[in-house]
Amino acid sequence: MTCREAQARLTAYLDGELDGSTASAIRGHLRVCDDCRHAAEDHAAIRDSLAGLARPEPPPAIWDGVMAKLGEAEIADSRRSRWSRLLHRLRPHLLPASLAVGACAAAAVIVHVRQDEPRRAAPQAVAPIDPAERGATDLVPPPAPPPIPPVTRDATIELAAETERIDARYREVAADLLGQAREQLGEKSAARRRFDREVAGLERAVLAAPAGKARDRAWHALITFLERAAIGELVAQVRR
Amino acid sequence: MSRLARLLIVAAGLAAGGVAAADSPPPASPAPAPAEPVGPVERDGEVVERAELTVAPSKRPIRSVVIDNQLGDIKVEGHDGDVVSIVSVKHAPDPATLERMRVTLVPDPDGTVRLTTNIADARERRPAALATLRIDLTIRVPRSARVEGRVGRGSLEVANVDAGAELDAGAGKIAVRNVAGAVRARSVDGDQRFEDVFGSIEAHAIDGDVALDTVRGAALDAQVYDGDIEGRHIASREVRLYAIRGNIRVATESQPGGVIVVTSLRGKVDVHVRAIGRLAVRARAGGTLSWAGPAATPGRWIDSQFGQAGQAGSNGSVRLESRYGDVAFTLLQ
Repeated sequence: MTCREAQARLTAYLDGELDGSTASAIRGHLRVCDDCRHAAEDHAAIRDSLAGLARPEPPPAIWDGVMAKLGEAEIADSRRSRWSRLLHRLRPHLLPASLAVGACAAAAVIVHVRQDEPRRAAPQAVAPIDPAERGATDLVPPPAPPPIPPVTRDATIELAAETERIDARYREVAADLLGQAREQLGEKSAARRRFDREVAGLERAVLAAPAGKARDRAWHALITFLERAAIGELVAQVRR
Repeated sequence: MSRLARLLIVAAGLAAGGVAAADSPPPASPAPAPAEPVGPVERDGEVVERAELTVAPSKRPIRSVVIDNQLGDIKVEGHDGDVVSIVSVKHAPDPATLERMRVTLVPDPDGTVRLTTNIADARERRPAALATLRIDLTIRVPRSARVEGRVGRGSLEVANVDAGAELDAGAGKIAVRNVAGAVRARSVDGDQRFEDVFGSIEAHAIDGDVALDTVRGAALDAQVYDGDIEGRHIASREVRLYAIRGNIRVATESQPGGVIVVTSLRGKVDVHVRAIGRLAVRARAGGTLSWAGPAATPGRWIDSQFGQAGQAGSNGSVRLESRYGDVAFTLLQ
């Protein structure tokens, strides 16, 4: 095995994709060739460092786009007639089948022509093709397909995402304020217990409220209470 | 005719965008009356459809109008009549999306008119981005009707009504002008503005500012988590303004026996008070306390009296605090 042959197969060798005899030949070459061995070590190091990288998650927009395109393809499928769907399903097999039919037909024509040759007249002159016409046929590009508008995220999904965003903001603010309010009240006191009971009640109201106006209002009630507690306004009341 | 049947008729009318009215008004409820239909038109690469509808009272006057529009703006204006007139303008990228956008009207026999917008699932139709569609509602209501409104990213404006309002917004702005009666407003990241309000205000914004101009009610209670509060010409008897991370700047008149409490946890507090009688002022600042009273130690409460003693009951009290910021107090007499 030459260096050129060995280096062309290094990646496949390191990935364990070669058959036993080729892998053995490369192993043998690497034992005797310093350059190829160093090249193999470099390949292995790069591969290991790439494997250590975190796999980035695709942004949700890509997934939405993929799902939307899949949905569109399914919708297009569902709108096809039964014959169209059958044709679509058979399309991969149509080319070989038509080639085979064509070959058979050509063979039949040849046999037929040979049998009829003595009876046939001299071939007719074929009219020459006008170069201008031919050029026009070949050079004019086919009409461009209509532009496909970009697939967008639907408004219903965006509205649901907006609700989730707002809910997440409520949770974040409430968590921040809860910490500040508890700092005001200390760990163990009657005021703290009353405060915790009040907060628990307001949290239950948030959980029980249906999404929409009722839940928004429940969140505002909880956050208003926590804000006053964080400021120290409610703490004095609770202590009283 | 059952309530469900009436709902379906009215919803279908508005959804179709044509004559948005029930054929025969139910006897015990406000009756939608036909109005001039305007079909969808294509304009600037979008399809726009305008529909109008009038709801007249039946046995009971219209006492309350409840609107929920997550797809655009709401503009409510009071008028001297007794009917509710609704103009809806839908914008969509194509006719198929326009068909998905619905405006539903439910006139209840108890005198409440409910108006809701929504968008149906795309199902087999091409998805449409939220930014490419909207429904804007302009509603004229009797002045005596109470208004309840809710928007998502759109703006919510209420003007010239006398029975107050309850308003909710997500990222949209709330604007209230020339309103009497109690007003309650909540927003997440939208600003709120109140102008010429002659009733109590209870406003809460999470990530938005609250602006107040000419407010004369029994109580003004405004609270923000991360935003500023700015007010002028405030003459409520009880003023309570709270901010966690924002600044508060307010010019107010002290009312006899009134209370002014202005507190920011991390922001600055700047209060100008016009007082008739004597004011008992209590202040604490984590930063600098700027006032005409004695010098203060940062973080400690300090009390002082301002102004001339007036008639009995004309004195008021003021409490100002910023735990980590500056506090400024100016008396105007």
